Amino acid sequence: MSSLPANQKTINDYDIMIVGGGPAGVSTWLHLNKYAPELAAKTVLIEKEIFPREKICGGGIGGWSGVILQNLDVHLDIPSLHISDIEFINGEKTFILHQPNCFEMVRRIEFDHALMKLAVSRGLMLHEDELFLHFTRNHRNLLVNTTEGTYKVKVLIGADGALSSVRRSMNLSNIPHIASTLEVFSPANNAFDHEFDEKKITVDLTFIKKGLQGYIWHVPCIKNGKSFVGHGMANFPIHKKKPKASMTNIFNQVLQSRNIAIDQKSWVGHPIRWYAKEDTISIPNILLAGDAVGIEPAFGGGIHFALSYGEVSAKSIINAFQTNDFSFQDYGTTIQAHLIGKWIAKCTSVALSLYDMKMDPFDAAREVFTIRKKK
Amino acid sequence: MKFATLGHLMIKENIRDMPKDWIHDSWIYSPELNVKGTKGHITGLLLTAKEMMESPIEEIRQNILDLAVFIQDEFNVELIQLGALTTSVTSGGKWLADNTSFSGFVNHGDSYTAAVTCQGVMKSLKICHKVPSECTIAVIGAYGIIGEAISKILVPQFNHSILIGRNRHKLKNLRENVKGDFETTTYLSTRKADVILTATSHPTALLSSAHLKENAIVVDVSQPPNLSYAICQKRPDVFRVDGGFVDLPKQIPYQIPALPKGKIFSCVAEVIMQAFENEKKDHVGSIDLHHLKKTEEWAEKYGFTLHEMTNFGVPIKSD
Repeated sequence: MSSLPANQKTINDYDIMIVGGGPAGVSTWLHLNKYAPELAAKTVLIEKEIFPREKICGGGIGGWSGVILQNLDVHLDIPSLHISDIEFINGEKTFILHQPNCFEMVRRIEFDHALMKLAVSRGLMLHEDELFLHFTRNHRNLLVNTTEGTYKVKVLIGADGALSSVRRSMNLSNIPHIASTLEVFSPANNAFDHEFDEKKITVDLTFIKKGLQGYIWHVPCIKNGKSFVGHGMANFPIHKKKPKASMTNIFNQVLQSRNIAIDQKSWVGHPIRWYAKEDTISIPNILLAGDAVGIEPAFGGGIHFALSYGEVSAKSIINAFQTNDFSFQDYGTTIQAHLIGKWIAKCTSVALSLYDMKMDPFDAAREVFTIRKKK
Repeated sequence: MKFATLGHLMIKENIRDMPKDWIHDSWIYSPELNVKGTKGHITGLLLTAKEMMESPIEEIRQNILDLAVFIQDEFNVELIQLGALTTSVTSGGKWLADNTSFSGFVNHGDSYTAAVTCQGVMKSLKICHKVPSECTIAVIGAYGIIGEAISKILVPQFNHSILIGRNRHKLKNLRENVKGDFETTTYLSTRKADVILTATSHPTALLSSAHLKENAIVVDVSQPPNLSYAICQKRPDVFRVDGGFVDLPKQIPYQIPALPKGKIFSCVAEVIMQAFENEKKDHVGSIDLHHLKKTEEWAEKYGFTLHEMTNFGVPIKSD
């Protein structure tokens, strides 16, 4: 999408570097561009891959995503499926939470690409196929080494996912909160998969009573114009001392119940980080955003968090330039005071009860998935 | 326009409450009644609710048609109100309305029942010092004719709504027809509901004490009731209301067999009002909310009111 800098030279053209071209990184830039275009003009975003790039994800754009995208005047023309129903299962019991257009199902490869193209069209300087390596401090600046050169910047944003390289280079002493996921996609089989026909997402909470600190999902999606269903599971070991359920056994059982014969070698998995308020998520000149900070540990919803982290990080950066204070020491408390922080705190409380079987799974689902109150 | 109600027995013992001259070999039918100058009959099948549910549908439909044609030919009835299970057996009355052997008009009377039920819910909330925007309502039988209309009206007013029915496909259709946010389920998820509204044709009581939140309001439109008298006795905190009745205007001094004094089924009130209005239309199948509104206007015009609510026939004091 843009030319790369010459190899291994010091680049002084930018004040800000964003690492990671997912929704959190791009949202950070879009918010900078909206509220401080002069800073956005001095920002570079590096992405290790080349767009369009695959991204393992259920692809549900929900929560308050619509509000943020509207605020940023973002309207993406990509194939999507509007979902109004989420079916929750707990053994023999089921209920459907009906909220018109509560989710828009997209393919992340298409969503991320379209969002990036929009940002580039608004002036984002994107460097693809470029990896963050490490940073060193130089007076009040950072020298950031990438596979393509050394950048002298004032602010570095790590929006590079749950296994963030930026986070790792910050040497934080946080307790790791990492959840595991497994996922496969299969063509929709009308005899077993009703998600596509009924335009619903299924969330199966049955396995909590068998020790899983997580749930199974079945989500409809369109791949190359064809109806597919994404089947996945997440396990958040929030109670570390509880015996671990076998994800492999449970996922096998789930796939068999849907008559899906996909070899275990073809299953894909990715880690999810969840945020705890004790976590350090910034150091002087460096902020984390999106999955690099973490999402909520009850159901792991992510894209609306990513978009919100972008807003908070951009505003923190603008404030830093205005006050010439790049310590970012208030970033954690700013996150906690923001909707994302409050929501994560609420979901953490739900997760602690839900995965200790001290809360009815359906009540937990209502707490987290009810998005509009009529009061 | 001459009207007739066409119902059936709930239980065999109902026969005892009937005037002897209403009981005939094949059916129940009253002598001609004169309601403020408009003539009509109360008629019914000699079948109990259980027999209605267990007999082959074709047999029941033929029985209904035979009675409809009989009262059309013998008494010049032009408008029939289908009561209780005769509505569901005839697909909301559509089967009879479409049948060419009966040339009159058909009304299930459920529009006014739905309207009165909504009034009953609001009145109960007021008596219990609750407001809908802070309450959860559960509607049992939510995709039925009455349940669907009530759901359409009440879901937007409540903080949370749980729409309950046994058939997943019918619940799916319901989700497409009711606006707003709510949940649907096939199990009796009423334990957290501040208000439970039942509108089913289930032959026995569905609700146990475990289904009831403390101080729950239950508006029971179902016949037979979905909350039994025995459970009501055990749970005095529960505020139960008989659904589907209204007060007769003072000018209509009839005593309907087996009903509390001065009360009439709202569905019967609707057909009487339609006859008063001489409105030559079918009102079958899903309820048209415009028609429902119109029945409320008719009720105001003719003096049918939900003045005094009852619980198993006993008046509820509003203080």
